[in-house]
Amino acid sequence: MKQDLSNIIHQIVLDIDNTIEGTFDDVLNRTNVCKTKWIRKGKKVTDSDGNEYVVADFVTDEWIVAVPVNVSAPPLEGIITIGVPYFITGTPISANREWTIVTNDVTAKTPIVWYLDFIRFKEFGRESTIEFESDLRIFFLDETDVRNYYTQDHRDNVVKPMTELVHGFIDSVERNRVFKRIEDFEILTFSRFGVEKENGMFQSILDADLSGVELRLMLVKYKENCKC
Amino acid sequence: MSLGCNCDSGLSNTGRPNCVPIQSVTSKLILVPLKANDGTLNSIDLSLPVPNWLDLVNELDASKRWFPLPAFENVELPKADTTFEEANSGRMVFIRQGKRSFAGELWSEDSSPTLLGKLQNNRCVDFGVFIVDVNGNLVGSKVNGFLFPIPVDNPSFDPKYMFATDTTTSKIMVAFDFDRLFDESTMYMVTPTEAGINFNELEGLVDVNFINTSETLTDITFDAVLDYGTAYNPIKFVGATSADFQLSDAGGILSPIMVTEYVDGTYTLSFAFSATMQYTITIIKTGFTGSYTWTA
Repeated sequence: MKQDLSNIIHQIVLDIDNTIEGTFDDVLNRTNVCKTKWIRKGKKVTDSDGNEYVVADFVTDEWIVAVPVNVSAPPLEGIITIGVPYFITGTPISANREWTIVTNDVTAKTPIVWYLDFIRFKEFGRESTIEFESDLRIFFLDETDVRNYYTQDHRDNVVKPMTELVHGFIDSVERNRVFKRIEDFEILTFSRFGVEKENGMFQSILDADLSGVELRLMLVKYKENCKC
Repeated sequence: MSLGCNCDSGLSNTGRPNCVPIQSVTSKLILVPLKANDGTLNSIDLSLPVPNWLDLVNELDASKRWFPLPAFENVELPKADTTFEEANSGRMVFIRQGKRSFAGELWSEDSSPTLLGKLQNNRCVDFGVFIVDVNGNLVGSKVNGFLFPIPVDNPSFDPKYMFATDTTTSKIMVAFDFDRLFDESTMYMVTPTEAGINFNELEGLVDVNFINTSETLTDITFDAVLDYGTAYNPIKFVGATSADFQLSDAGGILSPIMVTEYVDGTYTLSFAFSATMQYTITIIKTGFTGSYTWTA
């Protein structure tokens, strides 16, 4: 394999389309959109001029109410950019350490796309146009409010947006023709991301309160042109 | 020439360098008319710098334009058996190679019946295809320093609509035969590195229609819609500005023009028109095409 698998996954994450298009409704004072993707209340978005807004309310795939950080900024419309996911790879222990020390600001390092470091792949010989295939386990996680959220709140406010982020990841793979089209994939959801022990105590895997989903899929990549 | 035999030489030399670019799995096709209206054969002049590929897709002259199709699934390019004449002694004599066929499927959102209608019209045009593989290489026929589209036996062009089922999405199945005289040894490719573009990224133009037009001597108001959408609500052509339109009469292009979009997809173009003169408004926005002609 010419490139390490973790770099390939990272590039797919970087290629996720994190933009949505909106038009501002003067009457209802909100921004109409076709897709809300993995947008969440309280998270920041930016317009094409770099103005920052905080999402105050939204209805999935309908509209967004966004409050400008700078009060002189125009109403939110046009190309709207959602936060880029933070990519990490590694085992639970190493990923937790690296993710913890990178910054104390959790909002700057969420949502997380964590490629679980259990890298095993199958390469193919001369007879095949396929370079490799690999079973991936990738976690899409975001911060959650363990004190105030009921289980349904975790699902509505975090699991649902993270499922949308999975679809963004799948779309990123599908748009790149060097990957074989994905026939199916599996999503496992976590209202709380961690390990629940026998005595009922809940232990986080990463040192933060997170919810989200796990994506399991078979990634197949074609061989690329030879380089002389 | 691989179709027959070359009597002027012996066996051909068979060495090869270490790194030979080879095409991978076919991803999409770019349809190109074989001959432009001015009589020239459409091709890429390989002695010149690479062309602006987006200009080829957005070419105003449709007889010179490139028409990229969406990405295919389940592509097969089988070749029929070669025909030999066999004598009673068992001796075989080569008659001709079998024809090469193409079969591929356009899935889900690429399988609109509207696109089917546009593809069905292609059968009446003499056209060829540039093949694009999953790595974004462009494959054509290199002859005398030019890369030509691979000629298609256009009466064989057969797009078919397949309805969705419980287990499969809707599809357009596209099948055709290549020209039976095409010499496959002339196939060469242009890589994304050489071209500066991954050819999988090229997309065809979208037709825009002018409806509900209302003309006066000072302006023309119209709704601009696409062929796609629902029966009641075609998708609107929104967000265009004055720079996306061109006004012309028999004397050429007229300027300046002012175009305003009052509500989504409804535009007013303002200009001092002369009575009884014929005018044409053309969309020149990248990725779109359409025009409307009227007499003021």
